[in-house]
Amino acid sequence: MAFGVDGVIPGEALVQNFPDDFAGRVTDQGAVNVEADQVIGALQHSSPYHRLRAGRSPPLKSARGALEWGFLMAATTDPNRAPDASRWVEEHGDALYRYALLRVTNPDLAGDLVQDTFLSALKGVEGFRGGSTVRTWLIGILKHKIIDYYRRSRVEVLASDMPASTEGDDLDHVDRASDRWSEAPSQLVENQEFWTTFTRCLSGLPEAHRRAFSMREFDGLSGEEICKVLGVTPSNLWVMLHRARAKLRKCLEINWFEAS
Amino acid sequence: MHCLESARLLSERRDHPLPLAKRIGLRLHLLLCALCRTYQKQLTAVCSISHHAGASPCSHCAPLPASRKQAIQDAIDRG
Repeated sequence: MAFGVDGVIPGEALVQNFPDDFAGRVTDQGAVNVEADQVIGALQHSSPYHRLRAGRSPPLKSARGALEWGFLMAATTDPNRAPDASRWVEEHGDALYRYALLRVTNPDLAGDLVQDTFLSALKGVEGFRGGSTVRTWLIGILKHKIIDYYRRSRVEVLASDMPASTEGDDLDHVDRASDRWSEAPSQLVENQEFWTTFTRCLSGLPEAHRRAFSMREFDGLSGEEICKVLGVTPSNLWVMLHRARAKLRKCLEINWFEAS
Repeated sequence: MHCLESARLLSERRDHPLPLAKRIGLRLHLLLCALCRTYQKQLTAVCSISHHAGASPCSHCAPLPASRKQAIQDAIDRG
């Protein structure tokens, strides 16, 4: 069987997408000489990425039919098709990294979580039904990755970060005459200098407090959910959140509102 | 009620309903204490800023480093 260059599936495309199976088989005329079973085998046993390019359920009754359908699926604009993983990193990598970095504050760890997210998405791409955008779907996977990381590493973190009794300074730097805090939050977070100050203050929180604060205030998780992830009692969680909010308020007051 | 307890309850009431006696005590304290009213306003702002930060795409923040992007893309290509 030979697929010619003027057909739906040019030989170059076949070689490009299934190099292990078809490299070296292109003829001088640009066709690929293969047996039907080879094409079907390539689709059935290729990597998830290649299965993705071939669509969710290629009709494997014939080699040509499978490939035509698969390549058309990869090129179609149908919103319900499986997303094209070849552009994920370019299109969503920065957004996922920024999402993770705010929540874990460590650039290397944020990069690892983003990589895990993409690889998990690749394995589970058949579960993507097009009901949400690819970005929303990927963020949902990343959110679970972050919570899993919190859960896996909770013992070593919480052993040294149980709530400290430093309440005496809660009300330091509360300027009764100040109206600086009235600036719209939506405008503040778009200010690059404020963002730098905010993330620096966040990084200054004890690890366990920052995790609790992140899940509660960034992601809106319930106290019950957070207690399960962190393995703490509700009373402990409330103290941790109080300490985190108070310390963050004071840090922002000193380093942003008083300073500006 | 003193100011430190007021500050703690202002935070805690964001996470769970306070008992009636605590709610009344906090309300009375806030009526009388300008410092705690300011603290209340700033605490609300901290939470609101954080909520916006959590939802922000943060287009001005550092992007995923190019070397890391390439490594991830390579991992995807390998499947």
